Amino acid sequence: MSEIPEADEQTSLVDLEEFLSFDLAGERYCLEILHVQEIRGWEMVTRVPNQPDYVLGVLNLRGAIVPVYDLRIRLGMPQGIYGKETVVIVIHLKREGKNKSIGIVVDSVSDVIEADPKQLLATPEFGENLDTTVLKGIIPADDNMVMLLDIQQIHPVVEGINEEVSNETAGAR
Amino acid sequence: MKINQPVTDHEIPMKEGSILVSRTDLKGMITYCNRDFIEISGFTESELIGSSHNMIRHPDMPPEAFEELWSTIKDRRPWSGLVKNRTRQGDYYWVRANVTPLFEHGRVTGYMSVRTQPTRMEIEQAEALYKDITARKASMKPTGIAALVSKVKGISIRYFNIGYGLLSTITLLLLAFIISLEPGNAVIYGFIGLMAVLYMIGLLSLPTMYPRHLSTPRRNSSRS
Repeated sequence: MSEIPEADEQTSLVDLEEFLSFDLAGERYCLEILHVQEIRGWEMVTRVPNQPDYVLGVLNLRGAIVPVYDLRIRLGMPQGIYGKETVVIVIHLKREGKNKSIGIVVDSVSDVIEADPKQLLATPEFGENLDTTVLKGIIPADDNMVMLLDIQQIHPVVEGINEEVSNETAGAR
Repeated sequence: MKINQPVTDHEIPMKEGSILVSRTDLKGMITYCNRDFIEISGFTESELIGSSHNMIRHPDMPPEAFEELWSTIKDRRPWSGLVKNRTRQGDYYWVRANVTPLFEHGRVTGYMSVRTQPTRMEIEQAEALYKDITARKASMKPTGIAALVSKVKGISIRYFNIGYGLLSTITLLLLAFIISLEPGNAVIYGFIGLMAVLYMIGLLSLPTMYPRHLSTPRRNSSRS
């Protein structure tokens, strides 16, 4: 008798993944919660020269140097106003076998959602003006849709300073 | 404050790569918890949902840490810091808690905590800091007359101070009045001396009633 409800519980939970959803210019995006390392309030970063406009600078996170990106600019939107509710989500990812932390600036955190990754819908092609490589797909959630961010694509590996940054971060972790 | 007992010396380490997630309403009642959190907490999902989040609070945590947490998130800002939690069995586990208000169209709908595994060094620093806060608070407890009066009458230190100030002023004025009526009376001078001694003892106990402002745990842990 007791095995049946347990089995049910297992199947109902196993397929679901958790996502952290956040707002960006009125739209809802999310990322896999397993990648979240820290959620912090916005604070001034140290600027780094010769970087694309979406690179805000670097943050000293208890000794680890973390590059911070403005997700609005990265997604082709105008930069928002940074206030006390502005949040930096520090995420960790693996790149070429190394651990790396990056920070992304979002307007606000909205919720935690559970969804079946199999339900993920492909991002439609919008044409060349919109960079959709940063999106992994769309998760249908209740009455609206949430865009799933492809965190590996936020800042593609380029040579130079970023490599140094990633090495330092990896070393400090 | 709710004090959860009993506690053991047994630490439950967080599983590598696991992440504990919970969401509360505006009052701190749990509305969601993920599987990793349920597992480490020792409670069942139905026990957690609808309960106050302080049911996992460990008595070793100084209340000041939670006061800071709540004042930060009520100010619509995220809070990050080390927290020692208590399992249902009384064991403990350390987490880096990232608590953030949740927004829906600019309105705060609740709070969420995403907890990751802290490093051993971070745990040791936090442990020392929290112990220090608890110890300093113990030393800031009023002593002398103030402690006695507040204990006996159950009145707060602040009112004691106001009362003390008023009373001593009135007494001095009264004495000055008596002296002006009958200058040269030895009994009155003796009484004045006694009052002065009592007044000094009271004064000496005053500094213990004004605690120094605590350096906040969040600032300390993030600076290190």
